[in-house]
Amino acid sequence: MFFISQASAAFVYFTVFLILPISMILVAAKEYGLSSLVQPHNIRLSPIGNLVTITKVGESLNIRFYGYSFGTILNSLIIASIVTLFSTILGVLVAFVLARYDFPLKSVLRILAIIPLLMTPFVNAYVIKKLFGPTFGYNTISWLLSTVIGHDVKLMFAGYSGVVLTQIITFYPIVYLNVYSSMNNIDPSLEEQAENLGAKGFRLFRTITLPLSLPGVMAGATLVFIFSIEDVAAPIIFGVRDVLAYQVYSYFQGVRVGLGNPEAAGLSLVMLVIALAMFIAIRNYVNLRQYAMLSKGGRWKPRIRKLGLKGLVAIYLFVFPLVLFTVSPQIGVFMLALSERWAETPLPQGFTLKHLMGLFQIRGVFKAILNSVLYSLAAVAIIVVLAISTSYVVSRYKLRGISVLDYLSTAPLAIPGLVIAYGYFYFFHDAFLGTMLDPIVNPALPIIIAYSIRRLPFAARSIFAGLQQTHVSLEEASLNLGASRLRTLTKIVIPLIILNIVSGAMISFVYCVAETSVSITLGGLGGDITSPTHKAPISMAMLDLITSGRVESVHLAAALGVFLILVQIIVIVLITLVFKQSYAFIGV
Amino acid sequence: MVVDVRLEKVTKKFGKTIAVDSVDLYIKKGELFGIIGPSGCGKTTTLRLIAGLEFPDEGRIFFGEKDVTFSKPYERNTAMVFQNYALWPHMTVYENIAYGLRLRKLTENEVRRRVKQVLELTKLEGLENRYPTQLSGGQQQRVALARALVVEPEVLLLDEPLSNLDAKLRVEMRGELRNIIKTTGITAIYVTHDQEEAMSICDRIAIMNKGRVIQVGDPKELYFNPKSFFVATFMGKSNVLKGMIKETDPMFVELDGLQLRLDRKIDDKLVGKPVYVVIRPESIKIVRENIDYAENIIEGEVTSISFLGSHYLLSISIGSIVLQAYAEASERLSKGDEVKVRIDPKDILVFEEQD
Repeated sequence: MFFISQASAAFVYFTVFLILPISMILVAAKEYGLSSLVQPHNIRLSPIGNLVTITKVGESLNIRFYGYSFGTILNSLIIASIVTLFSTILGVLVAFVLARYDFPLKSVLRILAIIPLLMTPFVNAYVIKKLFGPTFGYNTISWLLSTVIGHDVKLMFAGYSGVVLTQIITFYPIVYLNVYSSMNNIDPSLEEQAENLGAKGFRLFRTITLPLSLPGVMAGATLVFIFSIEDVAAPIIFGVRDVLAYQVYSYFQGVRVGLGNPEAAGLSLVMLVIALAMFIAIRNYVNLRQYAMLSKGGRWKPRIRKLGLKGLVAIYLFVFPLVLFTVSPQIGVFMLALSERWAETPLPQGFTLKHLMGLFQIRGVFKAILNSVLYSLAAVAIIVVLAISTSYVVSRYKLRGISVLDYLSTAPLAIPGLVIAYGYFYFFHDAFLGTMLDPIVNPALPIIIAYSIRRLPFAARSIFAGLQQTHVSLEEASLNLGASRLRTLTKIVIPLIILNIVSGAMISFVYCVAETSVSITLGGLGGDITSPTHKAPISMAMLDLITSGRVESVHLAAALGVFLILVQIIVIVLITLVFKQSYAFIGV
Repeated sequence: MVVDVRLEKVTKKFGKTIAVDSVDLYIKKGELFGIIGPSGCGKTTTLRLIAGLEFPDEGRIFFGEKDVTFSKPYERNTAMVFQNYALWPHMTVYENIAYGLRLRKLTENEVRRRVKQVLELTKLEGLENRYPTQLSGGQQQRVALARALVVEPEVLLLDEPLSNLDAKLRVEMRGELRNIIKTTGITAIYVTHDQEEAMSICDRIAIMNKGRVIQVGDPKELYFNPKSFFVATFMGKSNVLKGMIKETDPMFVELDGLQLRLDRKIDDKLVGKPVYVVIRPESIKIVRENIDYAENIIEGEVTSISFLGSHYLLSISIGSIVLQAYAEASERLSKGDEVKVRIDPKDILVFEEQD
């Protein structure tokens, strides 16, 4: 009875707040025929634009990357493929170096490699544009290049190439983390045996290490692909309109007219189908190749080698600069937040704390922080209850079909945020017209529920892992002595996995505070941030500030970014140092 | 090519712990050489040093005349069978075995021929296309062995190769393993913590404790002629008693009121000192008739008895001393019986107490 009521409650929640809203997209997309999908503005086989223009103006060499447009749908797919390819190469490289070699400053590299995961919606893309993007004068990289080589060079990434660059920098650590944990889970004797039989270097990597870490590679690559498809920040900042995410987002700007357009539903559906197809493909693939390691016994010490001279040179001259380059947006966010002006110059100018103070002094901005914290706390409360009951039921109750719950609790990872936002708008606006749940009346409740669904997987994974490490016999002993299921859950199970619960809750909190898609769509419905009663969370405020056109506002957005970074660092430190849990949580 | 292996004063430290402490070993060409000892004694580290998976802090390692002390694992022609088999789960049996051959750049025909040959030797025909997860423990074990043998290594290294098998299979595999290795005539080094396994498989054995080699010899020598208390108690079951060498007659040892004659004269420095007396259960023989002329006949009472199928394990108490002994299943003994036992003087081992 206990399990059935738990399972049913969870099923009801998922049905009402995940399955129904998303099904609404299907209903709405009916009007949008397949013929419209293959219109040239969606799929264009003869591309327009160019990849790179090189011009010489006097002594100055201008290299400007841009990219071709193949229409909205193909653009999204192509960008996601390129981003996935490069992120995977970079992620595997960094993971391999960190998992298998020992060298001075290794811990520095390890920390640098996860810094790009610190989320600062919109501002990091803005900073990348400042550093590498199009500008009238020199961007930072051109200025550096020209100074170093003593010849006038202007290198810039605009349009699609800017989006690709931004997404690679932002998403590659997802591959890195997944592959790193995969590599650490390889029994070292599997590699030692190959070495013993005569394999070395790249051959050893290609025939043994890489195939065995394939589950991690696939998981990381798929997540990057999905994240790239749903990313709306980089396209907005680089002004790339013909990608799926931007198109779906743009319909929210004129809500009442825009969202009625069947194309919004049609494109949302396309996004959903792409993401789900990837997710299902990889779930099956990873399961198929879920190499049950044959060896017995507990944890082993991963095999770590000292690097030779050639290797050291390669690491310091190649890997370190590469990783430093990916950290530049976060450094830039700090520089932007702390500087007085960063407009036409390659580097920011003047030092000031006034933007950081502004977070608390400017009412609309401070309200956004309060909104975010409030929404996130409420969402985390729901998440914890939901995650405990689904994980407990899934891990302890052997019933056919119960794994659907497991699927439902991880699936939101693969559902693009904009799809959820779109479905939520449609569903709540239709079904609860004029009530507190109608996002036009007040978006707060739909946002909280959307957060709770979107960020559930992070807590669920952590709690599920805790349950798997706790032997069932501990609960059986309690049941055997006459305790009820509920009592066993609250008195035995929860205390045993409290660390997993707390760290899962904190991870979910971080991801709620930094949530983008739902925040900038539903979150914008309660008025813009100049209005004292606005309902916008932090990322909506950041988008508002950056696109407002006022120079001052960009610095304020960066200050919000700094605030977000600090929240994330505090949580990471708490989780790793105080709760001794691992922070590698972006994985399927 | 079959080579001999020589370790000279090899020392390996991990941080402050000395895993291998100035070890000298000589393993003859074509010999099946065992290294045994309790867990943590340094036997596996010694093997890994020979394989090149670790490098010594001091000392040298030679294969024949070749100094391989610091050669990389892939440069020395050894092949190792790991305790967990280390079969690659993403490759079939055939691919696992062919891996080392392909690294040696043999033609695909040659690879096929040699894999086929080794599959026959290890009785694995027909399993080529299975994945390791689809094999039983014994089959996995043989694949690991086949993968090592197929490259015709100069030295075969085995790290507790049978310890993941269940007890019955473990005993069955002993003979098979020895046959396969002996058929190839290869020099092999076999690490295990199971002394019975080592005795039944190996030509010669080194016993290690706390990083040091305590004694090297063939199984019989180690069993019947242990040079130290550690070796005596490590090899096989034994009764360990505290005693004292009689000052008046150093051919006798006194055990709590009991006097036992020894067959050799004890080192003078032990006379009058407390010593450890080690007697193996099989050295204690039940005697039925009175044999007046024999020494070391003792009377005692059977205080417990367990039937082990082929024989009994008895506890016989003699005064305050309890001795474990075996008796034939045909003896028809029961608890409380008075028995007479005889201990041959040559089976009584005496060691210094601090050992």
